Amino acid sequence: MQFLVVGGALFAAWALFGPAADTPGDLPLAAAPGEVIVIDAAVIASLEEGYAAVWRRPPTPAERQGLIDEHLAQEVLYREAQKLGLDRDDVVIRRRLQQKMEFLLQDSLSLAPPTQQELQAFFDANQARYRAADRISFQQIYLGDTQRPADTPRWQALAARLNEADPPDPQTLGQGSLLPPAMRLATPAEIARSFGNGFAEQLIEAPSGRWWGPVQSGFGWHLVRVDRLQRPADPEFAAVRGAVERDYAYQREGEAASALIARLKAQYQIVIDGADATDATGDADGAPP
Amino acid sequence: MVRILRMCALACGVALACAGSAGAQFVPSEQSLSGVYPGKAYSPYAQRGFPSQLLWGDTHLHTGLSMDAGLFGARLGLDDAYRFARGEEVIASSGQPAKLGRPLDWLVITDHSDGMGFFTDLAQGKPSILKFDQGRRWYEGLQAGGQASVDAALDLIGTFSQGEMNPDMIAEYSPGGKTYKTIWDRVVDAAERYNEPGHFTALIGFEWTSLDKGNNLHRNVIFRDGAAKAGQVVPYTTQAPVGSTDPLDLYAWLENYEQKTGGAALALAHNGNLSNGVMFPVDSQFTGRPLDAAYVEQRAKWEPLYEATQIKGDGEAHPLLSPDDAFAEYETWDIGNLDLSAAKTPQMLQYEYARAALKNGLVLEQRLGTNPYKFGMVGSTDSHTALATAEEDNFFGKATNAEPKPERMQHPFATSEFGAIEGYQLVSSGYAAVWAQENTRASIWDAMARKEVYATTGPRIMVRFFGGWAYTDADLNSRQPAFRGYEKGVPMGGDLPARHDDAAPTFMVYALRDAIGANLDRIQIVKGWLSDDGETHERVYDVAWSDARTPDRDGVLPPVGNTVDIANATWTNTIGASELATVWTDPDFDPAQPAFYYARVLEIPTPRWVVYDAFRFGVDIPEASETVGQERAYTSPIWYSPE
Repeated sequence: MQFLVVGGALFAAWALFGPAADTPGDLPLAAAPGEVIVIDAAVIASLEEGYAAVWRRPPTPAERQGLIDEHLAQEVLYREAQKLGLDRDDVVIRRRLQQKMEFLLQDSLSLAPPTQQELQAFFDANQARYRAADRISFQQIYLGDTQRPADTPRWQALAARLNEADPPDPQTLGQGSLLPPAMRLATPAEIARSFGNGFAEQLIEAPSGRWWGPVQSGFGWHLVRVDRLQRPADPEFAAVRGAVERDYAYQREGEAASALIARLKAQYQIVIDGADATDATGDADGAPP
Repeated sequence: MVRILRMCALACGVALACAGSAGAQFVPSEQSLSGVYPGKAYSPYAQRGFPSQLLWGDTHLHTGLSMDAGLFGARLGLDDAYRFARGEEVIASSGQPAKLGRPLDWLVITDHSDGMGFFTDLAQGKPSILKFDQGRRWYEGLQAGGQASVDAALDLIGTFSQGEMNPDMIAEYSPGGKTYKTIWDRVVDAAERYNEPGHFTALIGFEWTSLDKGNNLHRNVIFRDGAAKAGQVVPYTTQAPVGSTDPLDLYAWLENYEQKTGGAALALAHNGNLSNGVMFPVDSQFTGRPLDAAYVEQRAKWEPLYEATQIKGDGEAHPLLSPDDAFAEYETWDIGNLDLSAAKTPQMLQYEYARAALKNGLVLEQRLGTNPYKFGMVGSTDSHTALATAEEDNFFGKATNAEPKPERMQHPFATSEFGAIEGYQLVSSGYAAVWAQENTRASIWDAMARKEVYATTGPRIMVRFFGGWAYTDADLNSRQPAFRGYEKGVPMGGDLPARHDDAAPTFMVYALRDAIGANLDRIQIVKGWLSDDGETHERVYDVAWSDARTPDRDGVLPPVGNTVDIANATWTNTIGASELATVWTDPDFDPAQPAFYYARVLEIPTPRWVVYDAFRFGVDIPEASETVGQERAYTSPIWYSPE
């Protein structure tokens, strides 16, 4: 019913402010002769179905007529709105239609589960993601924060002393600190939790089995000794299948949305700012919808 | 400790076996027994049963499944929320890319149980919703986008808070509805898919959204279990007749869950600062039912934790309740309740703030036999964007309408006749830190149940807090102070061991700044106690601080300074200290007085998120907005009870 009110207001406004009509009261927009509105058995059946879904019973004859009347009213207003170009310029309608398309797309994607080949191909292309984390065992001595300048020669000499036979106890050197003096088989994520980003990467580059440095963390300077570096083997598909399925589904949803947009765009010649921007290959070049 | 007990048990067993059967038992020779009981392991790393992993997470996050989140514009779902928390880049609902500075170790997604999934169907315009005036009104507001959507969201929240949702409309989105079960299955399934023991933990949960005339009494329910048990139930709601707003009914539901499935769950109350005085009752509940032994026992049993800080304000202390605490005034929201339908009065405050509740808990323990407010503290975001952001330089707001954009500081968050909560008052806070043995559901949940957790307002400050009768500086200076901590006392969340002599309690506390964060200003210990006349008291002690400052004649420590450069949105670590540590003995201890102690760690001043917005967008910060704050951590308390 709200459509009728809105439609009426629009016509009134158009009559007042639109181009002058030949005779007063003559609407400038009229159906072209021969334009037909068909409400056939299929349409009526779908109206009745929608009604029954809400009210849990079929409509009475009076209600049925009411449904048809309302549908008719909506149809004529809809056609007039299209002729007026309301759907092209109204942000609300554009967004509503876009959202409807997005929902339709989501529905259709949930129908087809991925095949073994698709999963295997995805896994092969993204193996690095499924590799288990590196694990590093190391000791560290905290030398001080970066506010004070680095004393590299002295620290390197200290490292050399520690590498000789009968070295001093590492924990008696450097500054006292709450940072862990050693970590065993820790992943880069665990190391970053304590020492900040970038520290684990430096440990991986450091020579193994001897004291070395200075190395910088979020807290300042350190001497480090990497005792063990475990780089994991390539992952096996069967072991990570669950994660692969999950990631594949997530990516496919995004890709399908982009692909749809690209296919739709390919139907048009696109001109942006006077220059032809038609993408002849039809590749997806826009952001996800 | 376990080893020693086992030794004793075995020894007793042998002795009893010898005594019991009148000489028929053979007695092993002493030599044969040597080497059988090796005693404490030589290697300090072996046999170590105490928690050594500090795991960071968020106990309170909403996705588009929550009806208010969706109405505010959230389009992200469960998958996006988990991926973001695990450190991946996602596209936020406002269309901009977002990524955490560092991943979280665990997450609890707690969508509102009332109407879970309702929003998605509302957005699709399902006729079963649109036939109701409420549904149609919100649908149209939603479709309009922008401010109209926000208004629709606020209207929906208001309607819900006042208990005026049409029951027929949300029947499908309530327990018993088929749609509801399907949605819960999706929630549980997503948690299973992203739960990777040792790497990232996805705890299953939901938010029971209790509101009494707009007064916020929400609880987050967190399951210890996986799909096998949590999937056997659907979340408890608050709309009658199926649900209830009374926490006693929630406790009954939790009890039923545990009995039916053999699983375990706990409830975590939302920050009480928007409850207008009903979160921590002392005489009677908001239902009118007077507090009794049953209430305090149930509350103590089911609510081991409390959310002391989040986006909608900090709830540890209030300046009116703690006039001598220079740091109590911090991100305080005290205008009114959740939908600003009622103003706040000063009388309400003590029933809303953590420190006051801890004190009143001592009163209730004396009166009714159990302390109902003996909770550990956590921080969380309560973000409605599916993005668990609490970093000042990476704050994505409370809801999608407050995701980064030039004017987000200008919009009020909520307004009513009683006043306004301004956009710039949103707090980029907080996270929960858990001391656990491993990154698994069981280990993290168990740490929550024993309260070995603490809250921060966002930065990942490492804090250890131990209480006992004999800590010394030598313990602190040992290579692994935590070993001594566990050996000689209890960690945060625990009860002091029984007192054997005339000692005063000692506390070993140490903190390490966030590896990529700001230096620390000081560590304080907050003490609350109950005197013989039934009055509660509190005192804040500075116990460790940076830069060799000395307290003045009145015992007040000078401020640490301020290196914040607002124009350039930076600060420097030229003041403060990267770590602080001390062993502190209570100088005012009275063994007859029940007490609690918790540590509060303060950073040096750093810029609030508004400063980063101003710098990045080139806009002005509203005049009335705070620009600088000292972020902090609150540990769970340690309690003392006289014998």
